[in-house]
Amino acid sequence: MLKMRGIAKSFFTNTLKTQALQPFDLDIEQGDFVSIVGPSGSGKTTFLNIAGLLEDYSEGQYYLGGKDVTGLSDNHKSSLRNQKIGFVFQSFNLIPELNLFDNVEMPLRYRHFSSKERAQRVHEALEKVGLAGRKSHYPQQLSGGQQQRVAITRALAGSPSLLLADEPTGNLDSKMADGIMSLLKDINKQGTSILMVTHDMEQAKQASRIIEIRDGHLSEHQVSLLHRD
Amino acid sequence: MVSYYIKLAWLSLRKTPLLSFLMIGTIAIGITAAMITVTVGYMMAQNPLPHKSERVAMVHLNSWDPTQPYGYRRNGKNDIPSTLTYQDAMALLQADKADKHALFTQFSDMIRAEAMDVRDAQFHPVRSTTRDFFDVFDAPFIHGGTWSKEADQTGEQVIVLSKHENDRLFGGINSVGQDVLVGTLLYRVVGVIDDWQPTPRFYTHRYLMYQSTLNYFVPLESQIRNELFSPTSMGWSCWGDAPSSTLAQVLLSECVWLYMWVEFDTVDKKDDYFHFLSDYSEEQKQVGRFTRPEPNRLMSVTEYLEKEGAVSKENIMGIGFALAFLLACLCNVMSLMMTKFHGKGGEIGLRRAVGASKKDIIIQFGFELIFIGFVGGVIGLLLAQVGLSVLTDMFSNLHKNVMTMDIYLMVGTIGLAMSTSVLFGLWPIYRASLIQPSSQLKSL
Repeated sequence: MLKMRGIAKSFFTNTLKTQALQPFDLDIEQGDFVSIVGPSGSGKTTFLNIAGLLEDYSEGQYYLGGKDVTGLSDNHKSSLRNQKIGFVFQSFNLIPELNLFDNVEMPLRYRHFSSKERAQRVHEALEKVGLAGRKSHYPQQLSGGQQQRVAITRALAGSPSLLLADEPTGNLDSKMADGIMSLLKDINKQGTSILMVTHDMEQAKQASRIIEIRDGHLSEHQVSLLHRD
Repeated sequence: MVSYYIKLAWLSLRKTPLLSFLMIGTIAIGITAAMITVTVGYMMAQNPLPHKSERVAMVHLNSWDPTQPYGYRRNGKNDIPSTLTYQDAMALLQADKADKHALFTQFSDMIRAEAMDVRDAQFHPVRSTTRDFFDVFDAPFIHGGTWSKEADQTGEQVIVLSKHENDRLFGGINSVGQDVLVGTLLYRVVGVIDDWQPTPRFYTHRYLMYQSTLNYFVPLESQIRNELFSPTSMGWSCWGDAPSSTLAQVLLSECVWLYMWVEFDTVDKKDDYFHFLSDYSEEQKQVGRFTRPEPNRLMSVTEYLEKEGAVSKENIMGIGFALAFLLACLCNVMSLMMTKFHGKGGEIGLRRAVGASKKDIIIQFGFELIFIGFVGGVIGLLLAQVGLSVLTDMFSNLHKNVMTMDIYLMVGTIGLAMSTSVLFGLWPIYRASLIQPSSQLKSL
């Protein structure tokens, strides 16, 4: 469902060229759960942003759902993000002045669903994470774990085929983090591909594939070998 | 989506109350200052007879002193009188070449209803005119009507009252047939006109254009026959050595004191009338009058208003300064908007990430600006009303119509606030739409 060929990212600071990502090829199949690991500044978030069409790449071809997205207009990318990709962030990124319903509903608004369909999807999504009864609450009335559940619900409300998670448990204690990982695995089992950036190797090992990025170089590790280590 | 965007605009305003207050307040103050001056200028420059302003014209004849000009125009050229001598006015009236004639001057006297106590009499200016005055200038009757042709010719003692004076003298009843004392003379009421204030009151001298209409109207001939002469209030200019101590002497003199307006059924007739005036001048030249070189004039309402400068240069400058102040306010609002939208980078990034296009972001913030402009406009409108009412009290010599917004100005005020708010917000919105979502997703 995701195919990258010769993708690379470089940028210039004054006249100095910095190669954030070296050219790489990558295939992600429907239902894959891929962890992205690596030290800080290695290019993990840049990779995730490119995968999520939030950032342009310098060279290469990127196919999402079989479609070449290279050179697509800004509006096309917005539309693709809306339909095919869900985002989960480390700091949840819920809008504080909107209640849970409005936060989860946001991507559906840009998809021009009817109000009835929006309400139904939001209700079902919140019900799955056990927060349907709190849809009129505001983010600050919830715990960190609950807020991340809402953020995941928002990412899934539009039924995307790819979920991109940038350190989704980074701001949570271990118990809450376990709950979120469990939720992500459930989502993955239902067929949604997941690309998750994490610093935590224990969480990374719960994925079906692990990609390490170091100094802009991508390399894939066998999960079974890591488990043996 | 409209209700969604309105909701987001409202939430955004509530999120930063101080910034919102400053933006709305700045717009409101700018709009208030601009709209007060624009209102006065706009109302002063109104066309008071829009449906026939080109068919109604004022007669200016150059009967003035051959040795020196009557005065000077704003462009420095010699001017001619705006009023006529009695002999010329009567000659034109009797020639009856226009479809309607309104000839008028004024005098002042003590006035009361016959049944009222003498101590209740009030000193009022009275418009002495011809029967067509009300028709030419669109004065609306609520009781009765104008006097007859015979009354004009014989100087019958009949009077038309304003609604205001009808209320004072007769308690607002239909007073047609009742008697009013003008000085010691009994005048019979034939009509009552409704509240009527052409703005500007174009048919007199420019210094009087923004004053209230008079409340009493009588036939000019009745003023003449009764020798009702008010040298200090009627506005007249004389030249030569002829005596002018009494009205009878003024009638025979070269003094100019009668305004004359004529109305035509079609604009084409104006040219014919001007030829008639030229012929009349030629006749007068043959008897030694009209020897000055400046031509006669037949000025339509719009031409006369332009000549008399209904809106002065000072007014236009005032409007310019007020609009400059509004511009300064809007520049301030623009910088506040930049601050506000800069602080929303995280939300913009998130919305872009979940599927909002640049257009969606522009529309969302556009609604916010419209909302700010609307609230600023409404508050500005209310403050402008307060300001205008203070001005009305301060400048009691000007009619309150000049300081009153019509519906177009009210709607225009709100429209101006909203459109300028959006216009000056375009740059901040554009900047906001350019925000790269990937750079902002950790800042929400």
